[in-house]
Amino acid sequence: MPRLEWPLHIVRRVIVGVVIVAVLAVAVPLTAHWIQEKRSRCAAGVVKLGDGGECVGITDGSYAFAGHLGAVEKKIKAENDRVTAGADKDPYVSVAYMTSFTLTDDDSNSEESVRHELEGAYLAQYRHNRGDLSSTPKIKLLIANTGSNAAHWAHTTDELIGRTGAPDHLVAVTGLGPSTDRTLEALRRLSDHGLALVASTMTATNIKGINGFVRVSPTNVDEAQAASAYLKQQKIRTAVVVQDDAESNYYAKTLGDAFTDVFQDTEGHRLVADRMTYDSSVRSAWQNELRYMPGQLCDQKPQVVYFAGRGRHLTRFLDSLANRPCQGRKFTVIAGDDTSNLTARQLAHAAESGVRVLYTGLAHPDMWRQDPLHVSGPSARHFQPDGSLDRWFPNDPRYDGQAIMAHDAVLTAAHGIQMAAGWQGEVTGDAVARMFHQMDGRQQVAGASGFISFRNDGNPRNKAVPILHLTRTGRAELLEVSAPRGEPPRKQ
Amino acid sequence: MSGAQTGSEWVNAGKLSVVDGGRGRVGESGMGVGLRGRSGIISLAEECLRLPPEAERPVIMLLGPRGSGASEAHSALMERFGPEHPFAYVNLGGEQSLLPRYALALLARQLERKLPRYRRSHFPRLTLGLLASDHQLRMTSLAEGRRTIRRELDAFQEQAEARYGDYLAAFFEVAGGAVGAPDGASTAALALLRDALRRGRRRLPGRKFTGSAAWYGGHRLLHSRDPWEALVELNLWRHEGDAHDLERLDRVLFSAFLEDLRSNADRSFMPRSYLLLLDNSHTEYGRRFLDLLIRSRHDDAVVAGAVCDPLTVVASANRWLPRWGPATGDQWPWQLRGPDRASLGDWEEHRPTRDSDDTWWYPLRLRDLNLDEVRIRMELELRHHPDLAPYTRLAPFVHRLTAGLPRAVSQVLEVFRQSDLPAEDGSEQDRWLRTLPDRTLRDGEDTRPLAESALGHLLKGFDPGQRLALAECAAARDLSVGTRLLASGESLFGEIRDRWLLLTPGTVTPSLHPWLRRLLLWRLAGRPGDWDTVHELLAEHFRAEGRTMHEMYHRLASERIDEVTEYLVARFPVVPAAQWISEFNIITAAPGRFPAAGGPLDLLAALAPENPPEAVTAASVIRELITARWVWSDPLADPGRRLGGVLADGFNQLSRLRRNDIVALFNEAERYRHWRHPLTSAGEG
Repeated sequence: MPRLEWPLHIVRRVIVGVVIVAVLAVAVPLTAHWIQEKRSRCAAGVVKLGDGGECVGITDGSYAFAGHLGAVEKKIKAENDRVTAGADKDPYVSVAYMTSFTLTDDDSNSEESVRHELEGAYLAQYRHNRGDLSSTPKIKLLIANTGSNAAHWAHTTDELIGRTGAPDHLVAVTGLGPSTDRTLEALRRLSDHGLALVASTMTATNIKGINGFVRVSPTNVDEAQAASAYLKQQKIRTAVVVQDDAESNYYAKTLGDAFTDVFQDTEGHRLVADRMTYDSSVRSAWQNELRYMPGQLCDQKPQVVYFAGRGRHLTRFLDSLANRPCQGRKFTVIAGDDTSNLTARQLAHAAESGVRVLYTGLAHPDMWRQDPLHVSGPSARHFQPDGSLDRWFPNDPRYDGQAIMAHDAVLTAAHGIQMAAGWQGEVTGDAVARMFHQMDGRQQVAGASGFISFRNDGNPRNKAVPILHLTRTGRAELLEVSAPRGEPPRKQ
Repeated sequence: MSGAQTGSEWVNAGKLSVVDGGRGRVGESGMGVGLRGRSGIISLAEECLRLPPEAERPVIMLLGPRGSGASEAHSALMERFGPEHPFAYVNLGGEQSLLPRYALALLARQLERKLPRYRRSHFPRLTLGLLASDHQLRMTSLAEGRRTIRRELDAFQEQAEARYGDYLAAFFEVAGGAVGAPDGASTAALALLRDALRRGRRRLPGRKFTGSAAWYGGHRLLHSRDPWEALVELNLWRHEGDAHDLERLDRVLFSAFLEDLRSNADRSFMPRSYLLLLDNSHTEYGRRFLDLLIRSRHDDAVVAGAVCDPLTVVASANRWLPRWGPATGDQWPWQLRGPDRASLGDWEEHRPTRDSDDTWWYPLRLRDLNLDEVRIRMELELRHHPDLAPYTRLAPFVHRLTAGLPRAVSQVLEVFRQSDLPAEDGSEQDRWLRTLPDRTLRDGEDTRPLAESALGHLLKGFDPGQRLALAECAAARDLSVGTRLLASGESLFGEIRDRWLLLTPGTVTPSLHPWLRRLLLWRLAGRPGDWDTVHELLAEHFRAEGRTMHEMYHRLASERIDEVTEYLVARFPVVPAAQWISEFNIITAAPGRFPAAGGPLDLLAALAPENPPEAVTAASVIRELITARWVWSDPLADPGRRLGGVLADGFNQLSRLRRNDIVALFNEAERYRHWRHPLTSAGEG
């Protein structure tokens, strides 16, 4: 080896310098990354995204996406901890409940509605893990937030896909939020990764035929048909459709189209005017558009106005209608299930307009009392006054039916998991999804919103639809349980 | 063996310190000026240190009389290279005799010093060899010794480390005094030396006994092939062997030292060379050390054909070394080289064939300072002693008096500094300088007249009888004549020649160094009877030999001015002017026993004839010229050369008294009128 003659003290200094530089070169970016991550992290699995630093992602309940969710998330966390602690005795898989939990004015859901959804989801988890339906594998319930307007759906779905392996073993995603383009994208991506999908409140008719996807809610067409059937039964002959023309609002479009299709018939039922439209995506214009409609309605004199739009547009519409030029004329407005997303205050405000407001809901706690044959008693009982939910989450009226729908969605997933486990042992997303098509006859889901089985396109078969009346106090009162084909399915 | 020390003796040894002694004071005055006129030595050492480790380097010998600046050269080398290179300094001329093994330990300990730009050097083989031969092993057979030696070595090393920090440090307890510090060492050099000697809590580099022992197992001087038996053999040589065994032991230790150096230098981040400074290496132990070093190097590099060791050795000697043959140098292949042009190229060119171990020497004869160097030295002194400022004009006087011997210059300057020499140039100053050799010089605690102090240093080792004899012999220009006539035999002459106290070889007349001769004659002048007797004897000798000019030299010394005048007056018309001037110059360079009081003009006046002639004649002019030049020639009688004018006038007058061939006389007059001091002592005066 050649002799090195460089001055040792210089060599030492250079080496020390190089080592320091190397350490810094590694440490500084790592530290910066760590600080950045620390700053961008809200909790494990939950990160800050977007301009407003919205906390999105997945939690097992240890992080509360909003203050009002604290109580229910705490319970979910406790249940999840119990499940993971007992993993060596009872294996578990995960089911996620995904929707927008951090809400702004732009969202159609209200805080109350998403809280009720989570409460219902928890009830289903509880019942499956250690309640009346106790079975294995157990369910760990993950709470997945896509952010306001599902703006960060891509991040959250990617995170969910990453949870399919150990330790979470995610097999199904439920909830899935309102019917929007973004939700549809999310569904496709989750489906591509073999997850079973159960929508709770998604009613847009065009969302169908996605592999592994089912919904527990009636579709918009079902709702429109049920509404039409009810109106005709009430001898209503003339109607006008008011519809949101926003391109991404599938809910409004399918509702409007379906009602137009089924209401008009040869027996004298007709629409007395062309569809009246407003565009909620033009933020500055839609309120004005709604303001001009009452004048036209006074002129057209329909017996009923079918409102195909979001609940919060409905309140504006009702405000305008209250100030109609023809005050002597009574109007009945019938709307879709999104009305149930309104808060109690918004509902009370809508009721003040003096206009008779009916809507087709997704579910109602009174359905069981009024029609016990078409609703599962053991499930519906939990939603009654002094039922489990009232005990766990008191002073939180749940007339909107969101809790029931979320419960039924998670219950569907749980039922699928139980069936998959019994059938072939290994529970995967694909296996659970396949089970949805076996849920017929005795295997139909005993939901609190009715007995549920699925068509091949993922829609429920002839799902019960409650016709609700908004009372003067803002409460939803069940008028009748309808169904697209007359009578809803009974217990088998 | 007489010098042998065992471990048990260390307990009572004194504390380690750098011995500065009383020399610091004189040394201090030489600070920073030590290497004036020695730059060749510095550049030569630098060349050697820069050579690759395996290259051959000379053993540089700095030769010259005591006081010729060898110690200053060591100090300057230390100052120049010490901060960057490993170096070791040992004074082999100390009062304490230094066995080669102790010298090696002291050197190795200093070379171990950690320097920023290099890794620390280690001497495991040498240390093991020293350990193995240190104290007697208790054993009844070789086999038993072999079994026990390792255990005993461990135990002994632990003892030494517990007591002294490390094994080599223990040697300072017995031999530390020999490290000393070179004469005239500057404070910077002292600091470096202290740093090199500082004791550290350093242990042997691991317990690498096994590897080092294996080296002994394969050594050509040892019979045993087994490593541990070889070490037992070393022990037996030391404690039960004869002189031959002891010499072999030293050779093995030197060989180990050189091998350690080679393996050190072979590694990365190690120095290319190690600087070894050996002061006063003409002493018995110094000579022995050099013999062993040269022999070991020659054995390794030439006989065994191994790589040469990386030592740069600078040794100084105040004496001719006997191994070089007769002091005439006739049988030594080397001719002494001057330090000014010393270089590796010069060494390669002049070194004898590689087969002879003389090939390693590089003898450099230290020369005296010339006038310019003395002047610069005095000016440099001013930085430290502003009170000497007025005396810079005295540089020609100092140079004429001392002939530029470095230590003599330092001593004279020191006397100036310590005394009340009148600062004004004039007769008062001249009168003060007239008795300069009797002025006292404080050297530490020691206060003696300058002459005594300087002679004591120059003639160290001569007994009083020899000194007396030498003072008488100094009366002769040619020392060989003086010793033949006045002393018993040639031994004194040989001793003086051995000590480089003759003027630099090459001059025709073997005369004493001017400074020494002046001091000796000053002493002799103190014995007026002897003075006259000696000069009378010498005059008679030359008269008998028919060498009238030399006879007149001594007649003038005896103040027989009229006889001298008569001779030169008679010669004036018969020889060419140039020859007459030459004879005149030789005769009037005679020493004088002038009165202690009075300046040059007073002395001249005292020498004037009692009845001055009324007319200007050749005799009267020549007589005045003789007395004037006699006084003028003696630096103590005419320090400022004030009689130059008188001499110029005299030669002018003389030219008028001659009809032809007067150019030489004119020129001589001009020469004295516009006197320029010669650069070296070979000049006039």
